[in-house]
Amino acid sequence: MTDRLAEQGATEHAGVLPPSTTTPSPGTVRRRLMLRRLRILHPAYWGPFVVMLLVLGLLWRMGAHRWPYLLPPLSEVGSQLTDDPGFFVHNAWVTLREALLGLGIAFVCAFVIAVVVSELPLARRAIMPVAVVLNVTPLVAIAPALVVAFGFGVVPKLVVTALICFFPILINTAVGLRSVPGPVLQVYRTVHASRWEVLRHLRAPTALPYVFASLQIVFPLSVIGAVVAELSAAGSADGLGTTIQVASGRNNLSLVWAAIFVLAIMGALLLLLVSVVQRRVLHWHESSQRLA
Amino acid sequence: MSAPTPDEVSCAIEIAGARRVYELPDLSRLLALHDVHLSVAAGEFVSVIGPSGCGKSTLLRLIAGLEEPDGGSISVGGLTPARAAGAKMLGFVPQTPALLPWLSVLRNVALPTRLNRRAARPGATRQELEELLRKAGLGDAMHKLPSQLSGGMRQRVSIVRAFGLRPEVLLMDEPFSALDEFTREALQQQLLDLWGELRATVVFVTHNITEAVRLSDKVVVMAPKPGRVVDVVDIDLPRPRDQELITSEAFHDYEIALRDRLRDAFEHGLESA
Repeated sequence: MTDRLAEQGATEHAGVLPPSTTTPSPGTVRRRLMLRRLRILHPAYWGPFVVMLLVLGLLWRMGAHRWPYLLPPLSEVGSQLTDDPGFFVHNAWVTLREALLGLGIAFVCAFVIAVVVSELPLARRAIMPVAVVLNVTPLVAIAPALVVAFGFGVVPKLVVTALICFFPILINTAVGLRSVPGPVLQVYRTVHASRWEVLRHLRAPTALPYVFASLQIVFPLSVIGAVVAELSAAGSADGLGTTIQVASGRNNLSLVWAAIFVLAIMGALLLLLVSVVQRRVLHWHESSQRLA
Repeated sequence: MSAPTPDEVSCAIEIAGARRVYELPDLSRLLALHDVHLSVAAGEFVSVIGPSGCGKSTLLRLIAGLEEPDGGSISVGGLTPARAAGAKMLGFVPQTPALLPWLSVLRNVALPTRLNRRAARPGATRQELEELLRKAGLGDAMHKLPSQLSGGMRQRVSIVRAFGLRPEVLLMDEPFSALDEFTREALQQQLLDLWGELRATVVFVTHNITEAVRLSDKVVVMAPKPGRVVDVVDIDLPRPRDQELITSEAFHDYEIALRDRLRDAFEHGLESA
């Protein structure tokens, strides 16, 4: 720092303008970038969240004291989790697998249909109204019908999850595929790029930010879908939704809440995963760019 | 008028009685181009100038094969515009740089040369593209993303992308209109340098008189309502044209003459409005 100031002074005396851009030495750059990454360790970064957690914990405590039939003491919920962590890991895994498989099915179908719909106006007019109606139909109501149709196995859970995830992916991807700016299309039309080339090199990459926006919505939704399906199929053996169903039947409030906590954490972790991948893949996009 | 070099591959553009009508949302019809006749010799640099709404961009899109005329004919090197585009004879530079934000500068420039391979027309190789970028002062920016460049640099990338196709016809739609005066002049110079080296028949749409005089062999003056050609002015100034030429007497005379004709065109447009 001091030698840079000295340098500046020297050049001013010599009547030469200082350089318009200066880069610190590689060592300094590396150290400063590492510090920037470590800033999440600073209390100003995590402090507010921890305070919020403490406040919420306190409110819970007061609530549990006042209405013991509404909220179990946090300590009981905690001991549920610590007494048999294997139980929760197993059921969380069952639910997570249903959620992710259903999401995967939805993604493949929605992406393919989005491509078809954006390339063929006739198909758009046929498919989109059906998709919209499907979207406004409450899936909670469909789930029992699916259980009747497919039984208590994994199939109705995958169907419900896939249905709940399908629409956000379809709409976002279809909009994204059609968001290539006019001048870009003009440039590539004057070299007669084929439909496939336009799709592969222009439309699909343009749609990526939209696809990720839908994934941000749909990853947590997939967990909701799986749980709703499990709740409807009372009697299916495993999963956190089943756990909640059974525990509430037995008035085991602390077990219900323990399962809910696990679900919440699972959803948050999925969202975090999407965000991390998104920042890597979309490093070129405005959403990933920092100001200054 | 500087003679087009006959040994080059560049091809002529022939427009006979072109007409274009747009139907507006209220079902009224707008005659965007009325009976346009225009000949552009091979290797010639022609600017099209006129007030907004005179159909100059429509004319360019017709030559690019992006729109079909509703009457008359357009031929590019003896082919229809669509066939010329299919043969990758055209280079198009829109008003905005129209770069792909996820590709580096070099990949942006290279992508059109990789597409539509059936045309079997050798665009520039990777080495040649790098060389072109260096000539355009983009040597250090080659591996950067478009978002890391200034507006002037992005427009240069767009121009290099068009030249990288080794096109016979270069179509430019007000490519410098969004740039500041200094950048604009520097890019005009670079465009002339690149064109002097690679040659192509150029149709350059602009609304800037100085730019039209500086760049062109011939300036086509258009008037609105309905869009039509009202005058063609030959610019008989020596090439290469450098910065000093802009301040010369002859250059000013052309500017004044063009301004007069544009005023006529513009006032006529107001009268018929």
